Amino acid sequence: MSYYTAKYIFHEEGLKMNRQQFLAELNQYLTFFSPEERVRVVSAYNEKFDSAGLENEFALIAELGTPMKTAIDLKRRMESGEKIALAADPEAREEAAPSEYNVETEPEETLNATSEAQEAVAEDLPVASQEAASEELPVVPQETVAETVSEVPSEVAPEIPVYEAPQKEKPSEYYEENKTSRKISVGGIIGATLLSIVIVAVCLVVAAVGVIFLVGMSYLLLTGLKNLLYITDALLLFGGGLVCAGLGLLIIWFAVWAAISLISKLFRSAIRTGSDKECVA
Amino acid sequence: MKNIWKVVLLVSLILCVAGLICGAVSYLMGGSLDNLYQNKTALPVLEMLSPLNILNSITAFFGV
Repeated sequence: MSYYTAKYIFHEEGLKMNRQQFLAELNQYLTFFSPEERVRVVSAYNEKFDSAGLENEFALIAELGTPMKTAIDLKRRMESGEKIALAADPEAREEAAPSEYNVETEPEETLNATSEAQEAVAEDLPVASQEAASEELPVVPQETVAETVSEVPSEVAPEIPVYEAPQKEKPSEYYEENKTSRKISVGGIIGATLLSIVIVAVCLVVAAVGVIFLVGMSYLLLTGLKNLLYITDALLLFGGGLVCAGLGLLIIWFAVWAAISLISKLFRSAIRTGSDKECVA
Repeated sequence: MKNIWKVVLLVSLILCVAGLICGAVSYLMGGSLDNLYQNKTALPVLEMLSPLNILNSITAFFGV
């Protein structure tokens, strides 16, 4: 077994998240981007991994943090209007994507073929088929893997980067911070609820004015129909009724729109405050 | 939301313009508000929809 195969196995077995998993998970979190932008963002990160090289892949993942954290950072940057570096040509990226995800391996190796086949099956087939496929594929024992890793010559692979998962130094403080942030977010939501009641009341008053206009419209139109003999009076009544209808419609929609947008913004900001604190914690 | 705003604004604009056209035609034909207030059928409705009457109704409703 070659150095590359051994390295691949080492990464797969010894580390928590590799490049593929990171990009796949990041892609899932980027729902706030359009599909095209999402492809470009993922391509940009792919480029980043390419430039970092296979050696520094896990160091880069450690630097970026979790995919969720990366996605939150991207969202904040997008909301603040900061320009996000995207890949230049998404179509070219899409075409090149399969080769970028490949890890250098030797095709004749049984283990490599097994892992690739398992990945392909996992991506393409439904669950029942996946189970059947995994039963059919030969399983490489862990001892073989360990032997293979130990057999890697030191002159070929002088340093294999070891990824160490960041450990939380003071878990008790972390939980205390989380508790505080949860209290803050609950307080924010209660405040937002109270404020939203006031907003709803104001908007109901505005909507009532609009309803008065609509009622006036109906009375004017009916009276106009009764006065069709006096055409000038009827036209004036129809005209007044139509203007009332236009204004009433506008006022009612304004009340509904103001209520929806203000309340949603209020709750969004309250929830964001809570989640920000959690992120900081 | 933006699409709904567009539709509402367009409909309101059409209604208001139609109302103004009706008023203008009536005025050109010799109609006026004074004549309208002398119409016995229209008078109760006009009095009911007068801003003063609406304010009185609201204050009476809230018991002020």
